[in-house]
Amino acid sequence: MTQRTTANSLDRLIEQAHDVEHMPAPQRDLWPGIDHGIARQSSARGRWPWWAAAASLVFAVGVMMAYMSPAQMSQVAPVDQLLSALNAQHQQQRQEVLVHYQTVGWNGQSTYVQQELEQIRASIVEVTAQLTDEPNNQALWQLLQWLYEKELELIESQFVVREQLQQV
Amino acid sequence: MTAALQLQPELEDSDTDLVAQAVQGNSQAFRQLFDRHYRRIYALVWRLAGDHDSAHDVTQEVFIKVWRSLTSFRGESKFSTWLHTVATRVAISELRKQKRWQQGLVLTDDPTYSEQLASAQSTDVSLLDRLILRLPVQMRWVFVLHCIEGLRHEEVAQELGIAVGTSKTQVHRARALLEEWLSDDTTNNS
Repeated sequence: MTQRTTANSLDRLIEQAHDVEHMPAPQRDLWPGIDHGIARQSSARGRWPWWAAAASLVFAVGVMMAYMSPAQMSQVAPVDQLLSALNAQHQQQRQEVLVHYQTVGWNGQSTYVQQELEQIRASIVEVTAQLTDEPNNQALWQLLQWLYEKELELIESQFVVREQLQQV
Repeated sequence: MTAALQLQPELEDSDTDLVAQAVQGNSQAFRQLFDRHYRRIYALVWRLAGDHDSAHDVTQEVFIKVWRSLTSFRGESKFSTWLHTVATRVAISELRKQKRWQQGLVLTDDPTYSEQLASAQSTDVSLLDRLILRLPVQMRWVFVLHCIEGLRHEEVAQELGIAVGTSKTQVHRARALLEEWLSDDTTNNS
């Protein structure tokens, strides 16, 4: 075969490489993995408004406590009702996160993470009780907000680690 | 980016509609975009990666990142062109994360090299695809991006972080090697 003929043959093969029938094809269905990845991202995006709402509510209550006297506070709303509303909202958000991860293949938590989560939940109960007695303690309101955030972060981090392990 | 990737105009119009729906969070619309384009994207990624396992993972990563980046598609170019640009960048970035893909680090006892040889001998890919797997990694990337995907040497140089002259030289050498192997292949089969 002459050099010119070989060059022409190569050009012809390159041209054929643009035809789908000459392209390498995947050996498995790629969509489920993509769908999973998209669902995770959508969930992460969709959760922020919930958390932002909860965080801003805690922050607003904290600011209110810092600048209002106990007498003024008692006229706004009973503290225990506020705390109940905050905790209920947080529990609802936690449940939504767990349900989402279960639907995308998450099968539960490790014993270690479960213990950590239980500690955080116990702390939330404790801080809530303290806030009922000390509604003007801004540090406690900030601690409550931090505990809410930590619980959700822990749930999410464990899911990410599990997925990475599956990939390995 | 390339004339080789042009699709029919009516399909491109539909792509734009589907992108608009996908931006609103419609994953079914995105699924349709995937169905239309995954073969070409997979081929690009496979030719860069050199084996099916990496190509599967990187192709999935490409489409997940495309979903995330859809809002940055302004419609100034065809969706297929934009998609191939994103795919090229993600693929190069992902493959570079794997040290074994670095040029000069591919050793003969590396399992990846063995996998590539196995792929090069397999019959489920075309003759050209079997031959390009025998090229050194960077030379193959340059050849695929310039000769198959149709990027200009300046674009190849930018994507790979190499000099324009290097891109031209690599293409010249790749063609010489491929022509030689093609000639041998023809001789052996005749």
